[in-house]
This record gives sequence, structure tokens and C-alpha cells, in this order.
Amino acid sequence: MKPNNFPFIAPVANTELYTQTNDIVGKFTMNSAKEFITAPTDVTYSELYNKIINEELIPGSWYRLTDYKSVNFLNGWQIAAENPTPTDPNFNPQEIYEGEVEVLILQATSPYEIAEIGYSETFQGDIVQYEPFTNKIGINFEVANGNTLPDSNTVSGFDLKWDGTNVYFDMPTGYPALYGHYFYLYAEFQDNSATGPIGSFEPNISGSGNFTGLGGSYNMISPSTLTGIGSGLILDVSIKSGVIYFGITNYGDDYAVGDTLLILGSLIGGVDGVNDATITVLNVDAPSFTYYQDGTFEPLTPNISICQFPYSFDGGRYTMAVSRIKLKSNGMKVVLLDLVEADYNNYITDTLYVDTIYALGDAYGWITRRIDTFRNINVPFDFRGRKYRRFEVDLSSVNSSLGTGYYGIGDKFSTNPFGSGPATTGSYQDFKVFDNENQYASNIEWQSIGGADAYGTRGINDNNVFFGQFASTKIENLFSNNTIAESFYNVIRGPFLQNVIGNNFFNNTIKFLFVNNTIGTHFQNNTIGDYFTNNTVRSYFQYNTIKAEVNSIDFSSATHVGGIYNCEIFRRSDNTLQLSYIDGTNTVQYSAINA
Amino acid sequence: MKTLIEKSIVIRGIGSPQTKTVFNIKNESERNLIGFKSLTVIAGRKLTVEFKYEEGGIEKSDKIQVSIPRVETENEVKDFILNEINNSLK
Repeated sequence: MKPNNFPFIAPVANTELYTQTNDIVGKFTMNSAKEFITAPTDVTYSELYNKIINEELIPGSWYRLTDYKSVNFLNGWQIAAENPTPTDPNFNPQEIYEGEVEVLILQATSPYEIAEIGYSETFQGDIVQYEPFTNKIGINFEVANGNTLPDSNTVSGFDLKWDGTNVYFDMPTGYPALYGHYFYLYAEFQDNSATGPIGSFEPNISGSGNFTGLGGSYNMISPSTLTGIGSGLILDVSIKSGVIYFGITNYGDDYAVGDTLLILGSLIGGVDGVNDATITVLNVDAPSFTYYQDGTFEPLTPNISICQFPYSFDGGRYTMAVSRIKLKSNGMKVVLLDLVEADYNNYITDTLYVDTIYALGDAYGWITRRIDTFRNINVPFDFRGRKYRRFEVDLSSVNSSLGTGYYGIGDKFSTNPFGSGPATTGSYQDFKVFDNENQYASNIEWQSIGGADAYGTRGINDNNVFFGQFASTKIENLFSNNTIAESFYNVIRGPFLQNVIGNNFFNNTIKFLFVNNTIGTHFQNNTIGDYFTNNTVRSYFQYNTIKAEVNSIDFSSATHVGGIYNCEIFRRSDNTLQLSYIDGTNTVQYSAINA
Repeated sequence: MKTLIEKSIVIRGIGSPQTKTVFNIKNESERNLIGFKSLTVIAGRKLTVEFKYEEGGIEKSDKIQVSIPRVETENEVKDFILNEINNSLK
């Protein structure tokens, strides 16, 4: 029987059981799933991972993953990466939280891939997007010759190599490239085949030969070409004390770096074959000599990884995109599939650089999106399985209007404006992402990508805890490290991070940075257009539009920003901040922003 | 006379072109953001540095390839890069 009310359908071609019905919204349960999922094979995560890496999945077959667990850094990935010195006995910056076991139902679409859409048997009604090949959780590190590795060893010999078939490089011992994670690659190449006039910047040519006993100046000399196709170079030659000097009268064209030219000895006062001058071209004027491999793989995948974000640019002369990657030897050998021997020959030593992840613990695959069809929650991470630790701090030491009892982040506020931060009280609690989820969390949709590596554009929805009202919110970009205690009804279109919201905060649009603030009570109907950092906000800070960088301003005793009328904070042409509002006679008034 | 536009300096090879460094942050608070990198990560490497400069009221762009010395502090790297660029503009 075909389920005709099924909202999301596994993308398997030529399978008549799956028909998409986007116009009908139904609720998925495993009871309905049993009508079309036939005889799934039980697999442990270890077995599933091996099948994928060895390309042994059976396309079209269903697998019942019996031991999936979400993992995350208990204090958030950013704190794990910064790894501050613990100042609280319950604070381990790199502690990994492992969620409860959950059973997932997944379908293979190729010998090494599963369908983007899978289902939870444990949480009926949940649909998951699951990356099965992510088997580690870790933090960033950078690899280049001379860099110090996390184990204190120094990187050396980290350069491109040629194995007779492919260009490749070896990862440092103990640090394999990891499937499912961010991988940034950079290398520079010098293309010596480019041709053009002799370069105008010296040294552009060099000369060698036996000039003992010769001397004098010889003008308008045209060297003959020994190697290459260049022509037209005309030189003025002078010889003093056995050393030859060149002045260029005409730079010619079509020369390449490394080309060799000849001036017969008889043209410079000597004997042919005895006093000949051999000239080597050192640089030429051409559109570009350098090209790059510069881009990000998000993430590395089994089989062949494709660079999703190529940054390569060389002025348009060299058109090759960033090479596809194939991992071998359990991630220790990285093969650049699209480079050829000429690229290897052009590679500039010491320019290879990789920014990626090294493992700190095991993972069991990675849910990159979970949809709760009952409560209409659709977020790019596994909100069911994660927990984050909060330590109680006395925020009154930061903002006296707050009182006590609010929760801090980690064991301290590790970033500005708090410096070492307020001390913890000794109490802590581990929260689910949406606490009291049955009461409050619903109709939540977050975009962005929920990768395993927690870097760049992936995994940025991390270390958030909501234990109050939180509804009808759409977040399109960075939003991290916040603790929201009460109402919060906003649209976020840009970074908004490391804030503690002590009370209502709603109907705001954040279009760019809004960082490190503590909000006391009402903070409503505002638009943040640019930076708004490290400010103290008074109660009832409302109806304001902020269009400038506003830094370190104490609004706690301000009048206008707290009034029940609209204010605009902007920057004048003389770089001075100003506030404007319209008074009761429809006249625009200007004042200091905290007046 | 060529005048370097310091904010335009982009160092290749440390991530996305949007990666922030001391050259293109708007204020110091951006150091706390994802995507900011200290220049010490490029110490010891050969890299291409792209920049813009102004000459005769016209904005132009150029790039140089430099070997960054192995130094400990960001300011040392910054000063070295600025010196190399300014030398190329002479």
C-alpha cells in the first residue's frame, strides 16, 4: 500500500513505493513506515561505517541503525577549541556529551551513500538528515611546515608529492583527514610555461660564460634562442673585469622563465665557442605566473570529495578549479585527483596548508537536520540528543539591574567584555537545547548547515539553550552561545552571539553583529543595522533603530532610547554618533545617543 | 605617489577570502568572532598577499608573493607584511 499522506519521501529513483505529495501534510510514524519499509537489516554504527567506507551497501535496501548516539562538546565547540584553563571543578572545556541511544531507519542509495532522509524509530514523527560517515568529533588545527601540532611535534615535509599517477600529500602521523569534517586546502604554484616579453623587474636575465680578458661595450646585440620560442630581445652589453652586464633595449616577446639564449663570442670582442655568453631568462611579463589550490571541502566524504567553496583566483589565466579529493590509507593520504604532473612540478615548496579537524572523541554518524513533524521543529542539528552545561553566576556583578539566579556560559564568560568573568557559584546544570520542549518549543525553523566540524558555515548552531518561551522564530545565520531565559520572538539575519537575555527581547531584526550584551528587562522592537557591542542597556530600551557601530555606551540612565517613541542612532559625517527622534510638533530633534 | 589602503590587504591561504585578520576587521571585538585568524598562523610560509593602493586619485590593486618570517607575535608579522608591500610600491 502506498502511504498517500507522507510529507517527505526518500529520493530513490525508479521505486514506485515512494511518491511525493508536497501538498498534503501528514504525520510520519513508524506504524505507517512499516507499510513500505520492508525487512530492514539491523546494523551497529561500526558495521554501517565499514560498509560505507568499503562501498558495500546494497542500493535500495533499508538499514536499522541500532546504536546511533548524538555527541557534542558539553560546553560548546568554541570553548572546546579555545580550551581555556578550567577554573571550576565541573568545567572540562573539551568534555564530550554522549546522548541516549536512538534507533534510526536508513536507506542506501549507492554502495557508499544513504538517502538524505532517514527516520527515527525511537522518536516517532521525527525525520532526520544523517551523515553516516562522520565517526569522530574534534576541533580545528592547522597543518603547514613548521607548525606545532597538538602533540607538540613540528610539521615537516608537508608538501605535494607525485606517486607516478597522482599528486598527493601525506597527513602528519596521528592526524588523518576525517570524513564528515571541514577541510580547507591551499597551495601555490608557479607556472613557468607562461610566455611574454622579458620581465621589466630585475633580475630578469642572467649571463654566464668565459669573459676573461674581454672588455668594452657592445650595443644592439640580438641573442639567438637556444631553448624556447622567444624573439626580439635586443641588448646593450658591457664587460668589465670578466663580468658581463646587460641593458635591455627591446624586451621582445614569447619568452618563458628558464629559456636560454646565446650571444656568440665574436659579437662581444671574443672568439666564437670560447667566449660565448649564455643567457637565462629569470622572469617575464605575463598576465600571471602564480595559481592556487584554494578552497573548502564541507565536508570530506567517502569515495570522492568535491570542493563546495573554491576560492582559487589568478586573474583568470588559470582556469582549473580546486581539485577533487580522494582519501586513502584511512585518511593519511590525500590524493588531489585533478592535478597532473605539471602541477606537481610547478608546486612551490612550503606553500601547502591545511586547516581541518583532529579527533577528540568518537561519533556515531551525524544528524545534520532533524524535523519533528508533530511540533513543526526543523533545525540543522540534533536537538534531541544534545545537552549543554550552564554554570550559575551572579550576573549582578556585571549588571546590577539583573539580580541573581541567571546562568552564565561555561565556567566563565571567556570573551569580552567580561574579561575573566564573574565567578561561578558552584552550581551547574546540563540543559537540552529546548528545555520544557513539550510546553514551548514549536514552529521553529532554522536554516544554515549543521555539519560535524562546527567551523565556518557548518555547525554554527551550537551551545544554545532555551528554557523559556521561544516560538515563531526564524534564524538564517550565525546565532551561538546564547542563553535565553524568557520571551524571544525575533528574526535574526546576521551574527548574534554570546548574549545573556535576562527578560523579554522580541520583534527585533538583527542584520549584523550584536555581541556580548546583557539585556536587563524589556528590549523590544529594535533594528540593529550594524555593530552594537558591549553596551549596558537600561530597562525598556525600545523602538530604536541602530545604524552604526555603537560601542561601550551606558544607556542605563538615558531618556530617549527608553521612551515610547522611535529613535534612530546613526553616525554623522564627522564620525560622531547622534540620536534623532521626532517631537510632539513633528520636528526632528537631535541629541547625544545616551541623553 | 602610491598609498597603500591597509584595510584592503587580503592574505591568501588562511581560509575563505572572508577570513578576518587584523588588516580587515572593523574593530577589535571582531577578534572574538568565528573566522578571525591571528597572523601568527602564517609565520614561516610563502604566501601571496593581495592589496589595493591609491595613485593619483585612482584605486589600483596588486599582489606580492612573500616568505613570512618565523616570528612569535602578530604585530611582527603585520609589520613585515606592511614593509614588504610598501617596498613594492616604491
